[in-house]
Amino acid sequence: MANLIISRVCNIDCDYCFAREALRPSPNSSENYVAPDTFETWLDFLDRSNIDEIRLLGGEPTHHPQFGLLLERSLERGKKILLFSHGGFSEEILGLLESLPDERLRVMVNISARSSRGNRLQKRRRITLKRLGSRVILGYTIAHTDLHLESLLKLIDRFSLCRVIRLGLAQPVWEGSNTYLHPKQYPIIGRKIIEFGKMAKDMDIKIEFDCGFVPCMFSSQDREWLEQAFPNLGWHCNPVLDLNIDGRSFHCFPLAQKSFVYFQDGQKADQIRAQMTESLRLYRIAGIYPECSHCSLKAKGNCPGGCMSLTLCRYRETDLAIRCSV
Amino acid sequence: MKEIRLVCPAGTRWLRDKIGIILVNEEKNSQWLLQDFDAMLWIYLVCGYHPAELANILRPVFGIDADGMKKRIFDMLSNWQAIGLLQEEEFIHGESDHQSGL
Repeated sequence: MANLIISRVCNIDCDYCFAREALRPSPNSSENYVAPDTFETWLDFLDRSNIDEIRLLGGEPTHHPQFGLLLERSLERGKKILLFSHGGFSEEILGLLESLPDERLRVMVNISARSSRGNRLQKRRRITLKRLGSRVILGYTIAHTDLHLESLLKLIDRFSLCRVIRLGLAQPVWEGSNTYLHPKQYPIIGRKIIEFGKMAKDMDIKIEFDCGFVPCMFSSQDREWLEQAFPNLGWHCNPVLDLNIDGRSFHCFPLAQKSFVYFQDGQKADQIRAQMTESLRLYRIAGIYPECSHCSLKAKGNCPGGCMSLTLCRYRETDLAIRCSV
Repeated sequence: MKEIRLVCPAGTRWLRDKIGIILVNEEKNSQWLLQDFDAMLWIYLVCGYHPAELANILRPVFGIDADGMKKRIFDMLSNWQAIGLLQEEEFIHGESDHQSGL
């Protein structure tokens, strides 16, 4: 996997957005979108790395003025496309997406994305769900404990969407200022996910976790149920790799200012991932909770200790200075 | 006698964990774990206690005299120097400092 960030621009402003710091729009609009030539070098990189899926991200990726061209180039390389979007498409973009072969496109619609202009986005999004149907996977980023996910299940049935929901946890951006969940809130979220998961299971809808979930946010009984009901759930924090317009490749959005390399021709994904993993290795002894360094699941490699960006928030700088006479 | 200042290498970060105090310095590719007495002293020191003051505070806890306690603290600081957690810096008079002499 690797994410290609093709647009810095987004027309909504989610309080939890972890891309905001890394993707500040430039006054020079040409710098806000990936150039087609650069995109080609990214496709070469994916080929070299044996990656068949193209994951297009932003900002809002469909705002790229040559979005159609980028899709075309991706299809020419035989790639499958996974588009991460708020789902409020223009008629032109929607038509373009509809025209792609079914098996080549999935759209991950972030249903938790909210616009201050509210209704327009909701309306456009509903049209997207209706027209793209089973090509749409709903994604929801949990940023607050006041969580009501039941309506997602209704949307899936109503619009015959893909019967999968991808849940994410809002994570802090390294040295950033976005809204995120504190690990102390995780058990509250855990209980709500279980309630929701039982409803989803009854409707034959699968739940998947994005990175940063930890087993201990669930009681042992709940965790057992969850792992039986959704066997592929994972407890991850590793570099997916995000290739950014500014020439950097970073671990993930929350760590964009902490763990990155400048993308060079000839590199492969595994090499870059190894570099990034190494750059954070020293910090991995700890996790998001003080207990993580002592946890048997972490010691056995069954849990990474939660989101590294959240773990880094626990580390403090020191200016310790001790005067001595010797 | 000369005056020196012991400082952590620039960029050192730390946290308090269940297993002790974890310290990391990326530039030096180093990681340290302080436990028990070392961990307790670390907390006092970063809170701004003077080592001499600390010796007085801790003396009754450990049931040893002031000189013995000072020695124990000094030995610990020497050990921290040996493992690279502290490094010596020349002390320039008049420079601000939140710790003072042992």
